[in-house]
Amino acid sequence: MIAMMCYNIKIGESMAEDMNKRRMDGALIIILMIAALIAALAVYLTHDKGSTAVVKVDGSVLYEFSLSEDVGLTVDGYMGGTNRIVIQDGKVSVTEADCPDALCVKTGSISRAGETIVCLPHRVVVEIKGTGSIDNDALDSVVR
Amino acid sequence: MISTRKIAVCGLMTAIAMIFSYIESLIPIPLPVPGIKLGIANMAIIVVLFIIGISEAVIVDILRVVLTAALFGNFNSFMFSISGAVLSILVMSLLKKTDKFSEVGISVAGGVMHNVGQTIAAVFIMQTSAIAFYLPVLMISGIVTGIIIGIVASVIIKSVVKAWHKWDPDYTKLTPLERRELEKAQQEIDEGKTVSGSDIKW
Repeated sequence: MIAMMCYNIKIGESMAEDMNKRRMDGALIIILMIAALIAALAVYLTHDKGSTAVVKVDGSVLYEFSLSEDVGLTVDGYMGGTNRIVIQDGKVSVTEADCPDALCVKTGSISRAGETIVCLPHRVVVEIKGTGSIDNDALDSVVR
Repeated sequence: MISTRKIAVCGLMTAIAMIFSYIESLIPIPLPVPGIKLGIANMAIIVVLFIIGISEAVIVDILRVVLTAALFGNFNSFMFSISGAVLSILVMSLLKKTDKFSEVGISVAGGVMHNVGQTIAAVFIMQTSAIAFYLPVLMISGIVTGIIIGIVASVIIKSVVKAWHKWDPDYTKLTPLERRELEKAQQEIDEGKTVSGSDIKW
């Protein structure tokens, strides 16, 4: 009983503090939203129209295609499992996959530089590269 | 101070967090972005963070990730969840220490940082920086789910704190029902309403 009373008194005292905390929460959420917006702007501004599609499995580049050609191929992923990758009208999509969540299929088609289709279970990444730029990923794979 | 109550609540919350992690993996999210989760397991971690303490919350969170990976996952999924969990519990602990944020603020920061940590792990594991493309979407989803989880957690914390204060550690005391039954039995003995064992013809 006494414990309950103490608890109630404590609630009364902390009312003002709660309001203050709520204001801090709001500030934090707004800051994080601005951070997300900045990240989104950075991503969309630095990536322009893509020219080539790169298919990687477990970090190593297997294929590289120009987006202007129409291609259909089946890729064997890490630890077995397959993903069917199709390039048509300058757009890349994964049409079939036997991974459990099939997120790569749900991602739909991509065409802009920097966009990716990822299949985590098979460690398959389809990545679109921009026009004529040598980027760090290519250099890294040479060093490795 | 280590009390039985703390140990019991920590164990309970670890179990709840593990089950939530498992349930979460069964719920399909109809969005074409890898890594979006509800984060309901974080609810149990926030409850420990607010009711027990910071170091206990860290232990419960790490235990949850290790045990969930051992039971339901593989090394790949373990790498993703441990990097997200470490970054998120780090930030949540720091924010809790300042004592300037409520459950909602801490939950939002935890949700966002979990996704940031997972993105960092994905960049290293998949050897491509292109996955950072999903970061803005993942941050926004972390904020939205963080708000929901934070509100639910604050409701849970209120009722758990109430139960905590009502909790009588003297286990020798009777519940009202047991007391009534015993009093009734005593009264019947006093009034001679009982029969002796020797009177019954077996």
